[in-house]
Amino acid sequence: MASRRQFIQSGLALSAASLPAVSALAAQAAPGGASQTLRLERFVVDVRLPQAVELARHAAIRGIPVAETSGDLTEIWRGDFAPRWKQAPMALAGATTRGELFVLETLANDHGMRVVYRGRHDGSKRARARHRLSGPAEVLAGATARAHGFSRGFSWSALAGALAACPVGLTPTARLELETEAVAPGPAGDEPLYTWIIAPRAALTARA
Amino acid sequence: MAILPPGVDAGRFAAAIRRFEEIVGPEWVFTSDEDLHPYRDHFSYLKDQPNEPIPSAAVGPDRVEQVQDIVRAANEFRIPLYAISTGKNFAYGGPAPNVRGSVTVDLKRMNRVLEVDDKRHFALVEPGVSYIDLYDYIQERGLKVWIDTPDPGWGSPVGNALDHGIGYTLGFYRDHFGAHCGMEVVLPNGELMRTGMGAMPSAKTWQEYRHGYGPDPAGLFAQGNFGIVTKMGFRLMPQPEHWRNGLITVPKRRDLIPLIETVNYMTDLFMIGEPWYGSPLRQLMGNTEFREAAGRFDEEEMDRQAAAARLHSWQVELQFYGSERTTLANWEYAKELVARAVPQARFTDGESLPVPLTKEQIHETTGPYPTNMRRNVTQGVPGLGIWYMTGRSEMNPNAWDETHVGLFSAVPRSGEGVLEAQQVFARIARDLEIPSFNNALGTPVNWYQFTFLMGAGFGIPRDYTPEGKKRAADILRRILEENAKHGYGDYRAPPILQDDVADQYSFNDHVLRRFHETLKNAIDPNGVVSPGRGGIWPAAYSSFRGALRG
Ligand SMILES: Cc1cc2nc3c(=O)[nH]c(=O)nc-3n(C[C@H](O)[C@H](O)[C@H](O)COP(=O)(O)OP(=O)(O)OC[C@H]3O[C@@H](n4cnc5c(N)ncnc54)[C@H](O)[C@@H]3O)c2cc1C
Repeated sequence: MASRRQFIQSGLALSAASLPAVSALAAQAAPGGASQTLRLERFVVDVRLPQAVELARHAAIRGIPVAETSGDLTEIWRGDFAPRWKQAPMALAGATTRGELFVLETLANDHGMRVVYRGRHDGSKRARARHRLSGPAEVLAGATARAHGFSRGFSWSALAGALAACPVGLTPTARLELETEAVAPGPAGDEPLYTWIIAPRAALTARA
Repeated sequence: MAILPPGVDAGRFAAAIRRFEEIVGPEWVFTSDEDLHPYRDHFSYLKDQPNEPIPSAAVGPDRVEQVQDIVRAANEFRIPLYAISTGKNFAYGGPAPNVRGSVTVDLKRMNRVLEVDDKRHFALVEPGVSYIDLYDYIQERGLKVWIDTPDPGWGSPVGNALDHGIGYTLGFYRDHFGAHCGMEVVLPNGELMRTGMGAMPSAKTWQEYRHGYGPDPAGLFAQGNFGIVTKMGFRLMPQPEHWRNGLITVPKRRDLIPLIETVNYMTDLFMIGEPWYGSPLRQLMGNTEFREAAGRFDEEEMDRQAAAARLHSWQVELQFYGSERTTLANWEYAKELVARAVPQARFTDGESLPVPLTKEQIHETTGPYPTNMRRNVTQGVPGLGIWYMTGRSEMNPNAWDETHVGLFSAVPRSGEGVLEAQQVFARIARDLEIPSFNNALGTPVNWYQFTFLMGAGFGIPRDYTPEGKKRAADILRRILEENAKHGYGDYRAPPILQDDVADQYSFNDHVLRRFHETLKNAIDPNGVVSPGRGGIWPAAYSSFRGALRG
């Protein structure tokens, strides 16, 4: 039998606009830089998306088990997540299309989990890529702190690191928009890439 | 953002919530924004608009008696309820109610499979049982029956059937409401009623004889608001021993007429599974000359170009369930029938596989010929893969970004009917200055055994400002109006369009709606059960008709 609130989700995000503001919020959250982090039990990757594959590679290096999909989540759901989520909710991250995220978010809602970080990365056909991130300020700050020559300090490896270091507990949330050089095209031209973290409802206070 | 039910002040709402908490336990009553987020329609043109139909609360009962108590409390406090089973009705409103501030009755916890009989071929389930749950139940016990699953498989037999949902196996089972047999309903006064043989306390045939005695009110509970269904029986298809498919193509545009006539004959003899129509000429749509001819509906020129490209104009993929020998005999007979009607038809054998198919066979996407058929659903195997449809493709260049609405109209089940509908859809798109995809090549879906539904694939402008969303919803309404002028009725709609669709079923000064509303007012004087669902407005909420038009 389902436990309390196994079919709901929660949250409301604060909003912040600029990198310095995000960094300031992040500093408030973890003054010594040492907060407890979420243990990500899976990284879901849409293997048709080159940037997603790159992120998954970084996740695998960090020891997060990778679950591959190319659009159809049936196998992952039936073979892996459904039996586990019936027992207990878990934390996971991913880099997928919006449709895949919608499916996982909806299923997560039914099992006492919610999306706590969400990033939308647009623009393979554009000259510059646009990243819209919302979630824990620490994740956003982490994704943008360790620049590798990208304008305004965003890199995929930094994002992978930030996802793996997502804090647990009461944490300030923020929204951030920035542009970088172009990202590689996805399976059908310029469909946006979504990066995300889903966590048990109790693990974080905010929903992205 | 606290939303109250219409006409209910904060004090009365708080008292109602306390009562709901007494009924189901406080942990199953949800009122915060965050808890109500999953009960919104994230595909809707009304998302984040001031009139978005967001519930004021959600209640999760676990037993029939709790549903009865919730309905009684709703009458006492004059609170509108909105019942969902698994609440996955995406493209048709998701879990969202018709009236902003309703209390959602979420039946997901009532998820018991009560009976599956693989000798008499039926199931009896509660509303929270999903197709995946029922499939697993059958597989785990090795029962020799199939479910008929819609896409995606996370929906429920009860919720899907109550919105006239469809699937993909044999005709009788594809019509999910048509394949139901007996239901239990909590009426708007809280009383419990059973239909069919369920009305006879000692009957052992509830899932076998649907009509019982006297008028059968079961139809009132689909796309309506006459009660909350708490159990439903479904006929199940016995697991066949063999499955076979094959492709038929015909060369000329007008060959569609005898092709459809012949396939209808086979369908109505219950000889074939769902036929999947298409056009091999889609591959010419990248060619400007052909696209222009198709845009003009220049049939001679299209035939000329098809012949030059050595392509046939139409195709239909047929499926047969039975034994190896009977499916082969039926395929041979199908070829004979079509060859008689269209001597230039070509036939390609498909696969011939013992059932159940292996996982590999189900996921196989290549075969003797190119096909769009999603094989899992033809075998009653539920999945989630359909979400590819919301991604970017030639047919869906904008991809699903913010909105997604299903719009399928019933058109005559004939070649002439289809060819005419293509032109009508093209004209509507032209008049409304919106793109329309593959009009001259549009083919119907034969989900319902005796019905063709056609969705023309209109490109609704992708402007997600409030004004843009309003304009887009207005365009959808215009499409519905234009369709109705040609007698094409929508089979299903999200709350935002339900009043508009209901408006079009207007014979004799809307007598059908007046009849429904007379009944509604008689059995639900406070109008507490899903007011507005299906365009049926009880007197207590009549001022809400059309409110979602913005
Ligand atoms: C990409 C895509 C593909 C789809 N393909 C299909 C398809 O192949 N076939 C198909 O049929 N649909 C399809 N759909 C539509 C939809 O997803 C399914 O029909 C789904 O099964 C409906 O959700 P549900 O079963 O959870 O029903 P619910 O959402 O639970 O119920 C639907 C409605 O029925 C009423 N209702 C539900 N339960 C009760 C009750 N117990 N008492 C009274 N009233 C009740 C309510 O008005 C409710 O809103 C598709 C959607 C998308 C986005």
